Amino acid sequence: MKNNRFYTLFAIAVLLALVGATAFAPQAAYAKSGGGTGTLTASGDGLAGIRGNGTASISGNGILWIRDHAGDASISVSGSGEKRELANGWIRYAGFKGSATVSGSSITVALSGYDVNLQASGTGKFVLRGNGTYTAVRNGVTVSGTWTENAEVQQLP
Amino acid sequence: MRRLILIILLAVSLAITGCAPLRRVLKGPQVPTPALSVAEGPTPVSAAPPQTEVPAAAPTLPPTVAPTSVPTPDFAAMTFAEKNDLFLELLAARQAEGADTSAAEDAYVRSLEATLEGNTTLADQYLIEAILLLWR
Repeated sequence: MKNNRFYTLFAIAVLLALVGATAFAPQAAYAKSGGGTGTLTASGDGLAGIRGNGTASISGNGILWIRDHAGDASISVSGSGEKRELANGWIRYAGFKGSATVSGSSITVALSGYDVNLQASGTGKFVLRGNGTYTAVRNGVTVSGTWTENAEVQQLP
Repeated sequence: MRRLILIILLAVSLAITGCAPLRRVLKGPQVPTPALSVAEGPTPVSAAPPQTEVPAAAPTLPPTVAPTSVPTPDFAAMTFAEKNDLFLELLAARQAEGADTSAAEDAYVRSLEATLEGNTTLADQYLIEAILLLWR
């Protein structure tokens, strides 16, 4: 009888421990990105770059880089800057001061300089190097952060 | 009775151990925020060449030719933002002079590509190469 009670209580204790360990374990947020699209808003000084499928609007001062990997991009650039089309497919605007909106199924948009503002929606990845802040909405969850010293690639969504 | 108390203690301790993550959760959500970059290196190296000061007290001396080579920056002590600003300054200066900057720009594109791949080492290597191609 005593042995029965001992095993019952022991089982309860183990059960409690297991429930506590699993139910309250921290979620591995964003370890895997799900489907759907995400949005990104970032501002700062340094390098802001995004690559993927969707629309990116970027403004600031410095060098603007655009690449249309799939050949279906819609590119709208306003402001000043010396345009040059490189042999490897990149379009560069040196001394850029203005804004650009690029949409497509496989695009890369980057601005290196200061007072950089980036807004994007779609799927892909982005890098923010330098000093600044960002807010990303991934699958309905909003996360904020700062630009980094290293090239840290983040997924969208 | 003693065994019962022992079992209860064991149960409570196991439960507390198991619920340890609860304490972390209760402290607040841990948003994965990337590390804040701090510019702790020396002041950014100016792209402008140093001005040689001619002593006003010795006008009769023959003019000496000052060495024109400018030491390269200490890239290891510079943050990304400082290196990037230096590249932008040099590029603007060389383009204003009408110099061919295509090699430096190609190097910068490689740095950009490496950045988008998350390869910091390669990205910085190409960025430094781009700066040195514009450096005098």
